[in-house]
Amino acid sequence: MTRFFTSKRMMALLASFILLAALVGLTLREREKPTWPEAFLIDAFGWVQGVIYAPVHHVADFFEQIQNIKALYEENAKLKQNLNDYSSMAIQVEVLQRENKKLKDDLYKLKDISGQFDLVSANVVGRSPSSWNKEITIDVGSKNGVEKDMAVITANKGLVGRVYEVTPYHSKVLLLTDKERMGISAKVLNNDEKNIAYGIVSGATNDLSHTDKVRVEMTGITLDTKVEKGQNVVTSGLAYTLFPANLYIGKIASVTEDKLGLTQTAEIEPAASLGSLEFLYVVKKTKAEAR
Amino acid sequence: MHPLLILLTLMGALVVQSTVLQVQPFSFIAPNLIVVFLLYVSMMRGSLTALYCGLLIGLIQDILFGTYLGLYAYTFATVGYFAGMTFRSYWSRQLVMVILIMLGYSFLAELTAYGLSRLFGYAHVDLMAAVTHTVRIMIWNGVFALLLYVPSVKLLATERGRSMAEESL
Repeated sequence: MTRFFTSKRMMALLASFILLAALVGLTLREREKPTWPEAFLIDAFGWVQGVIYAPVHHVADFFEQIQNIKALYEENAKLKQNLNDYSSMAIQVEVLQRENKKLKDDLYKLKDISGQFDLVSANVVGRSPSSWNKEITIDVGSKNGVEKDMAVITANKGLVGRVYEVTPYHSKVLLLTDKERMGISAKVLNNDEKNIAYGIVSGATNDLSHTDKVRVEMTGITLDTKVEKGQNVVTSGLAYTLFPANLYIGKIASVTEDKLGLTQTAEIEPAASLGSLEFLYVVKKTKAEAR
Repeated sequence: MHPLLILLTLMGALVVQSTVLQVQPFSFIAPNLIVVFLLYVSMMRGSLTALYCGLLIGLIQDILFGTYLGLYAYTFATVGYFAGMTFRSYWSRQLVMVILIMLGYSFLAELTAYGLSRLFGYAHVDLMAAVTHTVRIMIWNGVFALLLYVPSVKLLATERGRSMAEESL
């Protein structure tokens, strides 16, 4: 049995604790820019990850396609039954027409939002392997005009997170569910102009694997405002100069009072599917709007 | 195996962790490959090598995916160092013992990271949820430790330790 602690080792251990505390202390506050060795590392790994991430996603899609083929067989059998039954066919046509109209509406919405803002499209190249902080790396950086604290959304307008660090060719994006450094000013659309419910969206407490149903917490809603299940939550545009207002975050799933009973906490079901991300848009605010 | 090659292998593990194991159907598999390989390094090469390797790969993970530096650098370094001590004191020629030590240190590594991020982060995760998640990772680590035992021991064996490795297989 070896002795774990000689006095020399004890000293080294204590010294390393102090060094750790110093390193964390130096980097804990948000920095304007990563230092050049950090930027170099992020870019170098980003390119390697980018080469791997897309093919893997394609393989995943292949599995999905197989499931789709199975679904198609079943559908085919159903359609053959329905071939003699004209009325059910007519109903199906109507359903398809509705779906088509909805998709067209979505397309116009996307056109509408792209008219409002300058969007930069981006591919995801990697995702944090740690369970305790949630962030992804995307393949656009300061060369494409991305800046720190810009909003990141999916095609259906759901907010994904904010840009945390920018290197020349890649950026790190903090997801809504991050438990370490997320804070976005948000408001609830509760049809009460005098008493708008503001709060801070601050990470998820239950999303430890990609399989859980994700709920994001919104804290600090004052007690005198009325918020209910099912109401929509959008960004308020108050906190960051680069963060536009009225980006859709999600729907309220439940409302509780916090432990001290001073404020309310709402759990939000995010609109964006944060479990599987591949194509995203960074929102560039036009200079005229940025105050 | 040269120390630089060990570091490159760890970097490869980090890339696999952050790409392949994050995409939907594969994300069900949740091992921490970095910890598994680092523990094999500490078993075959001793505490100090594992400490330096853990420190470097942890720092790289912090830079790439962390919001501040030091969390994983510290976690991996301490885990590598103390695992090396444990392997040296109980170097049994039994696979069961090796895997058990692996499971224990996987659990400790994940929980250390959780504790530190509770200390410096501000959103709160319940301890029970964290422990449940950690146990899940621990089980996957055990599976991958078994799968990687033969190649890692072969790759990491030094001239002095080679005979011992072959005897233990």
